[in-house]
Amino acid sequence: MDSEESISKLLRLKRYEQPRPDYFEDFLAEFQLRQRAEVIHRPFWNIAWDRFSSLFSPLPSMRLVAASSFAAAVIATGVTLNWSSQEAKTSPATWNLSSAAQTRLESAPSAFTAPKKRVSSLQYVLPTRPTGYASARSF
Amino acid sequence: MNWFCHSLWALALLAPLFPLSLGAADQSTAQSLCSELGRIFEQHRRSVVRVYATDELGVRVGSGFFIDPSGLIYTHAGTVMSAEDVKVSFGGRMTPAQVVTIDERNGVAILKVDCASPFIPIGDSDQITNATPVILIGFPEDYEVSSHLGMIAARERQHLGKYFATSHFRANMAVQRGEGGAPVLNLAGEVIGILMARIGDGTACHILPIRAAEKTRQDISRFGELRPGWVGGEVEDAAAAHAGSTAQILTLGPGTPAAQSGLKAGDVILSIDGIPVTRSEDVLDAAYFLTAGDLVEVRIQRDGETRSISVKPTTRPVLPVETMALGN
Amino acid sequence: MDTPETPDSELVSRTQAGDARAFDELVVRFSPRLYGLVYNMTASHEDTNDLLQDIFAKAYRSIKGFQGKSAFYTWMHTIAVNMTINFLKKRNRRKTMSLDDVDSGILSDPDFIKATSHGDPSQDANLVELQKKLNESMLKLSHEHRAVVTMFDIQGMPHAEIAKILKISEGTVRSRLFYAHRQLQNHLQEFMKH
Repeated sequence: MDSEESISKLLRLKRYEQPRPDYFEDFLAEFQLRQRAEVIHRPFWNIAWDRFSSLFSPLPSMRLVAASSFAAAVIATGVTLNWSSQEAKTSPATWNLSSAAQTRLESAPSAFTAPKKRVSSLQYVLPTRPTGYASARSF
Repeated sequence: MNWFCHSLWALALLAPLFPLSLGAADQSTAQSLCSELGRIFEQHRRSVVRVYATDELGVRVGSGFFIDPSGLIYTHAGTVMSAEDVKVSFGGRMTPAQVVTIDERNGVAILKVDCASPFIPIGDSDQITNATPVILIGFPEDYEVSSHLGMIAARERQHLGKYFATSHFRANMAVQRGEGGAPVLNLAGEVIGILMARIGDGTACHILPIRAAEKTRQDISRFGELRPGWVGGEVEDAAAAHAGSTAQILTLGPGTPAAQSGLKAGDVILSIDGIPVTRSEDVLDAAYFLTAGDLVEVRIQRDGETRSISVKPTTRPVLPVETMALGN
Repeated sequence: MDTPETPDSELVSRTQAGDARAFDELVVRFSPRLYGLVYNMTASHEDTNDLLQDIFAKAYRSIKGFQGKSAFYTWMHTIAVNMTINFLKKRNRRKTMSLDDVDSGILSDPDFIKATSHGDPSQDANLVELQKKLNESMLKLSHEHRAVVTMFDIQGMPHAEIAKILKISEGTVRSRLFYAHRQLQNHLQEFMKH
């Protein structure tokens, strides 16, 4: 066997080094958890701007989805209680928008088919990482 | 009876065959241990609840438990974070729950249901030592309430190079998805910790000492909000110990309570609010319990002299998620 | 599969319009592949897990800026490779290599059987030894050389694709591979004697 070819073959065997089977399901769950946490930490105006600017998407059907997700971002930020940043507190004006947008969310036609490989929508919680970290030597 | 009790009985019955046989006294020890474990489970399983949290991504299911007779519940922040709707299942029915607070620092969330409840008494997690046996009662996946017997291996400040906000117990006990937020009890039937995370595939786990969770509850009780305290100092380990400690102040942030208190760079910390400090890493746990606005005494060693400096912590600045995840 | 899979480009458009679940589908689709890429460069399952979370978080935050000039596949891989190389540069301590679970599929792979049996059926010991040798040799390569070897030899990506991802010429890809293979040959001399 040519040694160059052998190296290639040996290396190709490394593709079998895989994590345990349910790893990728857990991976998605952790990713979603991080996304939620990021919604909490990003300033409200930052999230709203992102969603607002996507309202100007060229595709009309996208605008409905954009508006719904804008409302969802507002709701997601709004339900965070007792958070230390001011951005988490909602104003009456925001809640009005939320309830109107909530109705839109519920009545928005599902213009798309659901993705093929779906992770179970019932997620049993036990993370592999703590929720918060600290700097060891600062107080 | 579970396999553990069966094993003990088997051992007791086979005792005459072994050179060191179990005497009558040991048989009754096995018997009383079994019934004690069974009793703790029977007494407290009704105080453990299943938590359902719904948001646009789906439904998250975790465990939780009552800590007072008015329906107050401890659960895992990861279950209820940014949920639009939270329900709790206990006593055969589903009840809506209000989220009182979510403490991302320690991973605890407090819920409230509108009814009277049984509850698990709170124990002293400071008294837990290595090799303490503990019982976890939780709802794994979609199974009924289940018990696990394990042992506290050690207290850990970090995992894979990243520091927890406060020490966690590391326990050897098989835990399963859905049990995040479950109570961990000592053999006196008191809750001494909350299950926070599994290690790897779940044959070991990290448990938050109940004292750390109580800090969250106390802040809510006193102020209606979380008030983690921060003074703005950084420490490092000095080459030599002074009065038994190597934790030396490296810097004091400009304009911070530490800077304004009279503390100086070079001071060696001996204790913070009564919690002893012997090396720089110890400040992690001492600092965790600080409350913004509550004056504390910091004992230091300076120029061979022991002094006490009063410091009033302010609100800990909230770090963005990415900074926290990357560690110090 | 009886119906065709939703193309990446459609999932991307939906994500850009704010449909978080569309991005979840992309995560499900790309995480196994990217896992292999990152793991073979870092040789640590724990580091890979963290890095992969960061990679998808970055992709999600930057996806509005993706204009479809290249395939999403290429864009995702570019982010993954760049973040992994940056991570490796910052990693100041050599991590011990984790000989983690190997999928049992390897035992029936004809190349594996040929490479390790030598007519001798004690496959398990050979497997561990082989993994260890390979991991050691890979870690001795520079980050850039390890990247091309991972993508070409382990993941089976064509030269052209690797060139697009690393933003270098195909010629450079080939010469890096050649150099890396020679380095690996030197390290794996013992194994190659058989």
